[in-house]
Amino acid sequence: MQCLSESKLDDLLDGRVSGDEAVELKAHAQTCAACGRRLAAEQRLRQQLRALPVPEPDMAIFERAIARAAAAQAARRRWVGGGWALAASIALVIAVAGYLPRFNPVEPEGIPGLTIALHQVQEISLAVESPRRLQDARFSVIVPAGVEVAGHPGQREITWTGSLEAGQNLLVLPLRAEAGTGGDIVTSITHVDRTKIYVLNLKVAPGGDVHEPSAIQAPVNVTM
Amino acid sequence: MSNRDTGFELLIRPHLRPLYRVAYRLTGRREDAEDLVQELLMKLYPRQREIESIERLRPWLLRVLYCQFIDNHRKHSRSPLRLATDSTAGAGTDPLEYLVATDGDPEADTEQAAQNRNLLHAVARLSEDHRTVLALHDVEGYTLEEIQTVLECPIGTLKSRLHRARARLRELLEETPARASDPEEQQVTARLRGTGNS
Repeated sequence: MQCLSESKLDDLLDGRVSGDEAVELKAHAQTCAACGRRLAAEQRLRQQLRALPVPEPDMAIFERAIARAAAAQAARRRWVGGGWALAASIALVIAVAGYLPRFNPVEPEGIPGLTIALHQVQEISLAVESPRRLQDARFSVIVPAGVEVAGHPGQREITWTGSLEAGQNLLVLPLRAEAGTGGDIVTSITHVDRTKIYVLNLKVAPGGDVHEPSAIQAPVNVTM
Repeated sequence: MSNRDTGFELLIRPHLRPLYRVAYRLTGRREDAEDLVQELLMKLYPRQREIESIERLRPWLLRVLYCQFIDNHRKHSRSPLRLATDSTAGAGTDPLEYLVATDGDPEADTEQAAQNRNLLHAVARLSEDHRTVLALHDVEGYTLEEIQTVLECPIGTLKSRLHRARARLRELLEETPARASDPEEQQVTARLRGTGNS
């Protein structure tokens, strides 16, 4: 029997192969070391995915949202039902709307994609806003293939421990692209019990050995 | 609370946690997930009559949640930098509890947390389409038929997308570079400075 293709492996683990074929595939995985390893690895990965944790929500928030929705609906009915409550009902709706949480993106608007040129060291700054001084924060930066942090040849990931000052901190990454078209820079900052992971898309401008440096983008603000 | 309020809450309550879980997988942040579910509740409350008549409510609710997420995402994602995960814990909880699922062995805890972090890194780097179908199927356990309702996408397309998402995830996990054994020894060229320094 031929070794399991990735597609067949997926089907087997998803329960889309039944009967004799499933028995045959499992028997093969027991006799073929390579397929056995792949099957075990895929099973482990799926278990890890299923076990990815979710922080507990504040369920009271949802109950309050339902209560606000009910109040807003009642206010609308009073307005429709009789004009005497119009001013009060509008005030109520505004007051209810004021409590609604808003998604506040921390990234400033209008920041274009970040681009660096091949074979030149260029600095990219991430502005990290911290409410207070944080000592012993753990930093990790993973760069895409073909890109390196200057001074760390051949290393795709660098980690270090440092501090964040209160206010704005600039994480300055001197990057050099030697090949490729770019990819994701994954930056994580961990302090005690809090970790933030940021994914920044980086493009590499193709061309010859000498380039005019592309404009260094404005700092992108992220709040810790 | 009126009968109408009670009725809506009775309809929705069994689905609140599953909705929140998917919202968390989509947004990556607890606060954003809570916001997304709140928005959904505010939007659906006036539609109680319609909701009462829906046969398979969970996939329908997830569909509305997903559309809300896409609308919010389009409004707010102009930056190349996206917040992938935020492991901020709620007040009164063990902050690391949800990163670790072991029996208290410190070495196992560290290894588990590192594995989770690597996996989260890799998932964060998937495309949105891949991340969504993987989160719904492999993480949250929804069937392709249910996901078809959520994403309004043919099952054949979903199956291909899921297969490619898994393949891409395996590639990304294989790319994860080996860590330096002692970060303290590294000469760090990346500088970290406070405001006002030249």
